[in-house]
Amino acid sequence: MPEIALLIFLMSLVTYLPRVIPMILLSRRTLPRAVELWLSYVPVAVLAALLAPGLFVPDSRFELALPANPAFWVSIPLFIIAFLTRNLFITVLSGMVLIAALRLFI
Amino acid sequence: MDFKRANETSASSEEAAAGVKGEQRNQALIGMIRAVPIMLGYLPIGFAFGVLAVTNGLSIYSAVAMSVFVFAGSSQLISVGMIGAGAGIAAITMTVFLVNLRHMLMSAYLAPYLKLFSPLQLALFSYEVTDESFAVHSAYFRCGGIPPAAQLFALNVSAQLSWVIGTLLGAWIGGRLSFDIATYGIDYALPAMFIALLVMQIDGLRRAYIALLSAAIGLTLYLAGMSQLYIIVATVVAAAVGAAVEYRNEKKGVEAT
Repeated sequence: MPEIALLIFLMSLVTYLPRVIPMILLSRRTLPRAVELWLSYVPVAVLAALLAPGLFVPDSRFELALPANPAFWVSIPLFIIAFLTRNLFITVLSGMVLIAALRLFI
Repeated sequence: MDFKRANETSASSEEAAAGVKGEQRNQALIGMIRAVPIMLGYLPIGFAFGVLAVTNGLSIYSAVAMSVFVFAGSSQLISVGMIGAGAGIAAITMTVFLVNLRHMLMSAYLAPYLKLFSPLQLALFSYEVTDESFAVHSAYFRCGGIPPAAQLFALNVSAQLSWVIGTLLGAWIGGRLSFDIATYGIDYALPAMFIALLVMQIDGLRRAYIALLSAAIGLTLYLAGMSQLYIIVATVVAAAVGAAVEYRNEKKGVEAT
């Protein structure tokens, strides 16, 4: 299947270039303070934007009611657990246990 | 590693080299352990991707090749859906480009921390920048400094390995058994990880506000149908607001003193 091979090649190219270009350009440079500050906010902003649809839009519509959206309700105790423990493993395991339990009992 | 020997000050160069090797092995092990939460999420999602790939007409080899060469979860899932729907190469490539453009922001964030990397190391490291590896790396860079290269690469490679193995298993046995990712809450491993890493990065009220702002913008755009660029737009705008406020405060602070 030469078409699939070409597609995979093009996909890897358009995926790799945005990953590598900033890395090469910015790793050896002293950045202006404003840019430095802007970059310092990227992780919180990117993680929040990544998370939001999964917590509020279970199935293409905004929905918080329970049988449809356990992810949102589990996220509340999970934020508290994450804040108190500051531990990745405990948070991930609690999340999996809590959502499995919630699905089982509703 | 022999503890006594490592402590001897008059160690020969051969022994010193062995010590460096042992230290690298330890660092690689730490990297693998740090990758476990990612692997917990990647194995089942990789499996789901493998199943979807073969049911949409890809061979096992193509599915695995995609996970090896592209290594970008959501865009791989979208692409096999598009292949199944009969979309053309140009349309699929463009979609994948837009979906993965967000990694540019992540690479830009990580780059200044990797000043000691050689160009080859930078090229290899950026190959495995994903949402998940970025989340873990940035949390550690911010909280506890920069781990040694062996640890960073071990984390990345372990994560990708679990993705590729998941793909292989899914493509191989997936068509033959029914598989529900929601069993045991496995589907929640990655969202839970994002929650933990987001909380680790919030060290003050301003960052909490910016996170809320970014989530609100992202959610609004997502609901409005901007399904490919919402993360980038939300991040760029919310981070700019945070930076503008902090920059102004810094300036004021300088004038006040």
